[in-house]
Amino acid sequence: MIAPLLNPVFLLAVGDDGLRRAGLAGPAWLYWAGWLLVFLVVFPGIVAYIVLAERKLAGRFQDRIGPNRVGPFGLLQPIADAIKLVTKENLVPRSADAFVHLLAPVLLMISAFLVLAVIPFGVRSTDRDMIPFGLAEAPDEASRWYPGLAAVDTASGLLYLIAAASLSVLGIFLAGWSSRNKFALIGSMRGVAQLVSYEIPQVLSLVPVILWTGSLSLVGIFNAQLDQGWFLFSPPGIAAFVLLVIASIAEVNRAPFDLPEAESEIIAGYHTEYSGMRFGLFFLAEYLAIFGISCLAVATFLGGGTLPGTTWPLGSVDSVILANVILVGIFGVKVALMIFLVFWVRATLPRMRVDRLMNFAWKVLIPLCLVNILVAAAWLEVGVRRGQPLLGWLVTLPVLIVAVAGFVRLSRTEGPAPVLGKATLAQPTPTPTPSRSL
Amino acid sequence: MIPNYGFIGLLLFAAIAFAVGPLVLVALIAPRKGSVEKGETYECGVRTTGETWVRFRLQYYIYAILFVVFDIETVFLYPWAVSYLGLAELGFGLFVLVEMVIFLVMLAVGLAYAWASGDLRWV
Repeated sequence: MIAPLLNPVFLLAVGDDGLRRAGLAGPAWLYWAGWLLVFLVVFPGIVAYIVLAERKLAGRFQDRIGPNRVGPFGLLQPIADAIKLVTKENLVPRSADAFVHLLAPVLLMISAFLVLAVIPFGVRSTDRDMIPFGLAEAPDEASRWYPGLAAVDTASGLLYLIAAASLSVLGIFLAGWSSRNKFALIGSMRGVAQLVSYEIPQVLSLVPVILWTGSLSLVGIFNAQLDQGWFLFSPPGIAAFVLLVIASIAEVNRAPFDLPEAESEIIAGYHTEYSGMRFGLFFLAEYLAIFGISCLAVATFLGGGTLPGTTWPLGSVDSVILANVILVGIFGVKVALMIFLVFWVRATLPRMRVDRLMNFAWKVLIPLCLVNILVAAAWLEVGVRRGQPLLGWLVTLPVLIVAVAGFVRLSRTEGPAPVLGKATLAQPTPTPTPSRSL
Repeated sequence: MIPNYGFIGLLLFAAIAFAVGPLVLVALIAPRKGSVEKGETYECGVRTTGETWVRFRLQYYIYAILFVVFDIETVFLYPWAVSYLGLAELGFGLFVLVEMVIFLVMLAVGLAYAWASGDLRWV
């Protein structure tokens, strides 16, 4: 299966099919080259300025000004940072596993890139001319889809996206393990435990969206929101959105879930032994991942590039280019707001304790996600299929409130975790025997 | 019809090139003045002692096992969620819903068992 993928002729032939369906003129390679340009230039450029925005905003949150020396308002700071990173010496510890040490940041970068491949930022046509995946033909105009402006549009989009996002666990573990540094290893073990635990609520919180759409395609999700309104606007939708945002912030190791790189305890966690450009790759991949999950949240719950309660500009603007300018613009504003939310959370909340972190995932988020799936099915039956949103709110909202309150209370019944080795700590022993397990 | 998965393959190589490209640049222009101290493992200036790759606590393994259980659950939940609307249109809505309630309850029992036996408690 790998061999045909390596063949550029095969790549172009497959790309042509998507083009023909989109009704876009021009050779296939141009379309592919365009997307590559977006991935290699536009997204990294956006991410460079997200980093600057975070530094500026963090400055404001902490009553500082933030970077303002390089260029007007510090706008050239990302370029200065890039120059600094590539001119720094690359240090690899003697005892490290050199190849795996190199492989880890590359894996993280692959994960961050692949996630963005299926996000629909706009539309490829302002006509409903796409037959939904799984159907041989669409019975009427209304059941067709607007084709989405995504690099890859596949029937299994959401499943693919989650698989690509979960690759980052490997990168984090390999980074800590290959460094042969105790702090890095602790950081990566924490990272694996955390990413694995928070991946489940992230995946489960997307089930309501699939349930309401009846498809895994992100283009299908965008179209379903054109028909049903934003998925955010229902009690299970709000719950699923909040759960997704919390789990996603944990998935990209952002505060208050940044235990894998807690600098007050374990130096820099899994990237302790990385310096110069290799550290820069970790940094870039982390911010690309933040951008990716913000795009995911906007595409699945916030209606993509549309405004609430309307499908404008679709249906009234005929020009594909004008419609896309509007759609991508609104999409960008929403993504910016999501990223601002992530920064705001970081500036507001202190880092969690590790036992509370795991408790929160397994005893609050996962049970809530399971309940929310059933509530979402109830909402689909009452609020959408029977067309009684008011009754839907009355049925689903109390259940969710009781569930949230119940699981939060239940998760606190056990009290604080026992301190390991408390008995030996209490007695003053002159030479404590060193423990071999970390 | 083959969907355009080819681009994902292309993007894979693009991502590798995007990551390796700057590293090549670093190898060309960055200074290389290695020394014994620079090659040491960094532990805040203290010389590292003992083995680094030690055995870790069993707790991590339990979480990994639970993760596998719930990840496989997802594999069952996603197709259910995809096909629910279509089956509900055909009049099987209640049947499909009850089936999934049974499945979710069985998993919830598993989670409750892990919870009650203290496996979810971080020590």
